[in-house]
Amino acid sequence: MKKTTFKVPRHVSVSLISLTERKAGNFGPVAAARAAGFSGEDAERIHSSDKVSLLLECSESDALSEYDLAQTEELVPLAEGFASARVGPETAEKLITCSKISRVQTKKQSGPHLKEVLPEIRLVGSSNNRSVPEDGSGVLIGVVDSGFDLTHPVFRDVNGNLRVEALLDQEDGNRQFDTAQLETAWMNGRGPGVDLDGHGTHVACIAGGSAFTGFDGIAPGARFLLVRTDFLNTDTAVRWIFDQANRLSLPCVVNMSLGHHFGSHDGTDAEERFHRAVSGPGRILVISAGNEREDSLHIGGRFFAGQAQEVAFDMLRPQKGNPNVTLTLWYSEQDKFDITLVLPSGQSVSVPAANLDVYRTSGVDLELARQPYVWSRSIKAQISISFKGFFKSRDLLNWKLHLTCKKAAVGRVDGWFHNSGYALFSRGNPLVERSRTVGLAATGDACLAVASHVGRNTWDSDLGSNEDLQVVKGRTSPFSSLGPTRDGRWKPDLSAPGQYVTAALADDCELSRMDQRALVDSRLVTIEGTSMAAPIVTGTVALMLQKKKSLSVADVRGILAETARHDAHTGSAAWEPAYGFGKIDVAAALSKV
Amino acid sequence: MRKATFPQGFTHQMGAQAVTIEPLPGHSDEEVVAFLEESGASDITVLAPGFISAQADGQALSKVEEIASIHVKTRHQPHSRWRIP
Repeated sequence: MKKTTFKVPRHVSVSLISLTERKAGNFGPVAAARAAGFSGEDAERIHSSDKVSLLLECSESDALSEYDLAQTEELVPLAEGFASARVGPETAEKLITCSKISRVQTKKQSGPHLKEVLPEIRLVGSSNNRSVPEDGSGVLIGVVDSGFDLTHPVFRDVNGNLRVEALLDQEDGNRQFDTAQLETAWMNGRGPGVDLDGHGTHVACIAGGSAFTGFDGIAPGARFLLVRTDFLNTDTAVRWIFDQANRLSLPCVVNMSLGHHFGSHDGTDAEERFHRAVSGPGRILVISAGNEREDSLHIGGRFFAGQAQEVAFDMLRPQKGNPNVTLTLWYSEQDKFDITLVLPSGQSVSVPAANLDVYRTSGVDLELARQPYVWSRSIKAQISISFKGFFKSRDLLNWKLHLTCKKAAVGRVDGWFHNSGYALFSRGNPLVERSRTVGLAATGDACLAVASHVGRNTWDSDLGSNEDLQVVKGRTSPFSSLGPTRDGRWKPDLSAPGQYVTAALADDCELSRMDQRALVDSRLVTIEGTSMAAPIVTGTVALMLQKKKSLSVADVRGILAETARHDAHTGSAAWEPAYGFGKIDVAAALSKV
Repeated sequence: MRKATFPQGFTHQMGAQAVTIEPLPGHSDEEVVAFLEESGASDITVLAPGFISAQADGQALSKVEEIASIHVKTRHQPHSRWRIP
């Protein structure tokens, strides 16, 4: 087997290098087709041209002025710094070596990557044209997330200008930037609010991304208020976004595709009550329900007086640092429970009736506490386990929680690990529940909580086409957290497609290293979660606010519930733990505004 | 195993915490903000009437505890996941 190695400049698609290095005089239609992502018989059947289609990023405005093109070639400026080219091999080689061109990538054949999602939510009709005239113009979309790649075309309008009104970077001393400052800062690569993870860029793109290679977000006419969050001060992030919206006197919808399980799950957490204080006409919050359905992080059950139950759990070793977990248990102030933690060694410690007991060994610290929780007339018990120093794997396994009901006026107890990925309750135990896994702050009544269902089960990646035969299109996503809330309220509110959603990929982020999900040259990536479902609703709310600026969360919830779609998967019940009021129908919702 | 007992509340933690503070009935936001400033807390923001965000250590919080409820903020997780089928 003969091997030849070519140097691949960083700024050029590999597929173009393999074409130009053939030195065959011309590309040939099949070779050019393969560079565009056609494979097999499609490359021969569909592609008849021997030119290659390129997307160019130019570092200087006169980069394209010096080329003599053949009659069949074309070079078209798209926006400031971007151009489209359709050229043969000689011109392609010149473009590769031009110092004024910072990036040369082959265009890949792609249908709109939301092509199966947009018809599913009734945003496009059978002709693939948008079925509603609204695009979110005059509305602000706030996104609280991991960061944003502002070099990505989805954040720019047709003139190449940023569609970002302002950005707050909580990871950089809460520095704030306006549009002009962001344009300057991002001119030469990474700037403020940079997305090292990829999550935030993907989410923002779904909600309001500009048209990009056949793809656009739900509300491509809206402008963004972006917060690169530290994932702790999400309340100040929301405050900042609404302050900016107040300054601009524009309606605003905020997307938070994040959450936790360290709270009462009954809408009375401080952050949830704060959301109630700041939401109002034209001030809407959309929060993802969570992905914890199958994560065995919740126990719940009804006890009678004298009944005792035990449930085992294992702690999980994190990728970095020592294992630690916090478990909170909640029950009515009218009831009385004895709660005991049994260590793998067999030693047991009791949660005190009041106060905080701290136990320290050479390997682990335990904190056990109990206190009244006045906001919902409950009792909160809290157990924190933190490993330190040397420990063995067996030290993580087979911890036990022993619950004995001493008095049962209500009798219901619920418990959650503070988040997924830290510990697991033993799955076979009857106390382990999939329901009541909607997280905070989605259990608050001042937001729209969004679940996920399967919109598609195929996607493209740098490793080729992929299909997941284990999911059923239209069915609830297997990970999507289930309602109701601890106090029985109907959350999630509705469901949107959140499975295998393709959207913008941030440059050089964690997600770009996933070959089976990323299309790096196309700057797209496919991931799933209620994170992806929530911005579909956020974009929809932006379209609704464009029609009527003064809608409140109750107005929006009422319209979305009334117009939600039901099918064989959702059933016909008014509300269902996996789908909420049903599946989002954008066209129907807008017609009701 | 060494054991220690603390009174109700979680202000035994001496490091700076991100907290949300709600004044108890009969006490105002301004009063709480003044307490926090005197105690050396930072990043003090009135989020909405009745809700104050701050970065404060155990010493500062133990003074405020008399007039306000203190909630330690929790780290959120992004709600995305992927798996290889």
